[in-house]
Amino acid sequence: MKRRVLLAGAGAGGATLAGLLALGRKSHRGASSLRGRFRVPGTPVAVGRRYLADNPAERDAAALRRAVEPEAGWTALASRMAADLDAGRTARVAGWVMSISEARLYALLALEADD
Amino acid sequence: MIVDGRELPVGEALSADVCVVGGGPVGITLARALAGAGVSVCLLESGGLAPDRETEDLNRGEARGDASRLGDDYLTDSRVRQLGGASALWAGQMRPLDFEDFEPAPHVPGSGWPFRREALDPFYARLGTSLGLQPFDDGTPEGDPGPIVFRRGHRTVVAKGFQYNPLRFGAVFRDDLAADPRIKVVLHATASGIEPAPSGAAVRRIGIGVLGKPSGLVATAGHYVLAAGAIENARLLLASSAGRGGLGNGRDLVGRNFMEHPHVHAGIGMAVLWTERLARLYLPGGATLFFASPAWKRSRRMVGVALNLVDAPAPRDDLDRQVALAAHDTDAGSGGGARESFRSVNVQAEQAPNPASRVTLTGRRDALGMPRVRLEWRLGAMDLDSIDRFVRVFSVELPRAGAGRLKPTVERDRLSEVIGWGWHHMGTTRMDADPARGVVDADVRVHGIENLFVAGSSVFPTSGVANPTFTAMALALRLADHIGSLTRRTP
Repeated sequence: MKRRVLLAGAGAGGATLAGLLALGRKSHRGASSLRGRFRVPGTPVAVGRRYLADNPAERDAAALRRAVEPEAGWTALASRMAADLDAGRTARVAGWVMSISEARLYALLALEADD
Repeated sequence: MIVDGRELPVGEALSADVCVVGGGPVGITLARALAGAGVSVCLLESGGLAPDRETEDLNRGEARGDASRLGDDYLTDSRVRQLGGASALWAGQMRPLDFEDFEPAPHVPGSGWPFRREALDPFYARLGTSLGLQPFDDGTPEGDPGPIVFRRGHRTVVAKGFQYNPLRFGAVFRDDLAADPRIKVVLHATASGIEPAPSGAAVRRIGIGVLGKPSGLVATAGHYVLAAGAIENARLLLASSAGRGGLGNGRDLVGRNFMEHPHVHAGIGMAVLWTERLARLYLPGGATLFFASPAWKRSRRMVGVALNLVDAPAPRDDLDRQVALAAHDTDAGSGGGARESFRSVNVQAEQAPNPASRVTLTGRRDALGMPRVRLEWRLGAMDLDSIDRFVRVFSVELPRAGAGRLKPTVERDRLSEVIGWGWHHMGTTRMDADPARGVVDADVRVHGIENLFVAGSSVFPTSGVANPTFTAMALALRLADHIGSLTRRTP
C-alpha cells in the first residue's frame, strides 16, 4: 500500500514543482543570472542555440524576455513550465520534448551569451 | 521414458490416454501435469535433444506483412524443433495477462475471452510457485489498475512487474520425463496429419513422419492435444483433411487472427532518481514496465502498450547530453540525486485481432510431404496509433512529473518501417464459446471434434501485452485438469 501512495504522490507532478519551488527560494533576477543556476553554464546556451536554429523567427531577445519573464524568478518560471506541459505547449529541441517556456529560456540565455 | 522415433519399427502404433503434439514449454507442462494426475501420455517431439539442420528445415516457409523488416527467416529464427521447444530461445520473461485483457473491449473487434482472469488465477498461482516466482501485484478486477506512475484524467500510466526464469525445459525436465512411467516422449517424431474418424466428430489417430525413412508410425489416444506453437498448430489443422479445407475449419477461422507483440525502439530517455527507484522497486531481478491503464485505453480506443526503460549508455550526440544536463538543473534536480542516467525507450505492444493476419499453406512441401506455411502478419491502424499516442503522451508526462525526459525517435507515418517483434506467435486457433467466432471452445476443445484440444498461445482471442508463454502454460495446467476429469469419467 505504501508503494501505491508513494507513486501516486510522485505522479502528481509533485517532484517538479517541489524542486522548482525550492530553487525559487533563491531569488535571481534576469536571464543572465539564471544561467548561474546551471552546473555547466554552457549547456543551456548550447540547447538554446539549437532551438533558435530550428526556430529563427524567435531570434528576438525582447520578445523572448516578455514570453519567459526571467525577472519574475524561478518560482514563476516553474509554474509557467508546468502550465505549458499541462496544456501541451511543448517544443522539441534536438528531438527532446520540453515545455515551450523552458526552450525559450534556453534561447534567451543563448542570445544573451552571444550578444 | 524417452525414445527415438527413428529407431522404432516401421508401422508401430503408439498408444496412450493422451497424445500431445509438441515438446515445448506448453507440451511438457501439460504432459507432466497429466502424468501427475495418473494419465498416460505420448508426447511427440519433432526434434531431438538439440537442434539439427534437417529438422529445422521443416520450419521454412514464406513470411511477409506490414512490418517492412519481416522476411522468411522469421519462421526459422523464431522457432526451434527440439525437446524444450522455444524455451531454448527465450529470456523467460513472465507475467500474467491483466484483468482487462480477458474482458470484451467495445473498440476492439473480436476481443473478450470466454472466461475471466479469475478463472486462470489458480493456475497462474500454481505455475508461479513451481517456477519460483513471487506473487504479481496486479491490482484488482474492480478497477484498481495497480501501482500508478502518472495520472491526469484518463491518462494513467501503471507500473507492472515482469519476472524472469529462463528455464530450458528440455534440459531441465529431460531426466524427469525419462523417469516418468506414465510419459513416453518420442523424439524425431513429427505429427504429419490428423486422421478423423469417419463421422468427422472425433480424431482416430495422428500420423507421424520421421525424416529419412518411411515410418508408418501412428499415435492413437483417447484425447489429442496440439501444442506445437501457433504457426504449427494451424498448419497441422489446415493440412489435415485438406480436401475439406482443413480440420476444425468449417468456418474458415483456422490460421486467422495471427498476432504478435509489435516491438519498437521508440527513443532515448533520461530518468531521474525516483524513476530509477521505481524501476528497481517492483521485484529484485525483475523489470518494471509502464502500461497504459484500462480507462485510458477505453477512452482513446487504444490497445495495450507498455514502455520498457532499459539502461543505456550516454548518447554520442553531444547536444543530447547537453539537453539532459540542462534538464537536470531545471527540473530533475528536484529528484535529490540528479545525474546523467539514460534509458533506451522500448515499446512492447498488443495488436488487435485481425482476420487478415493469418497463416495459410503454400503449394510447396517439406521433406515429410507437409505443405509449407505462408505467414501474412497484418497490423491495423489501431495498433500503430496506440503506440504513437502512448509514446507522445509519455514524452510530455515524464517532464511534467519531474521524472525525466524523452526523445521520441519514431514518427507515426514511419512506424511500420521500424516495427519489430517478440517471436510471440498467438491467435491462429482462437478460443470462443461460439463456433462462428472461434476454432476452440472455452475448454480449448476444437469445436465439433470431441477429443481434439489445442494448447498454447494459438488459442488466445487477444494477446495483451505480457509475454505469452506464462499464460500458455497456465492454460496447459487448466487443460490438464479438464482432461484428467474426462479421463476419470471414461470407463
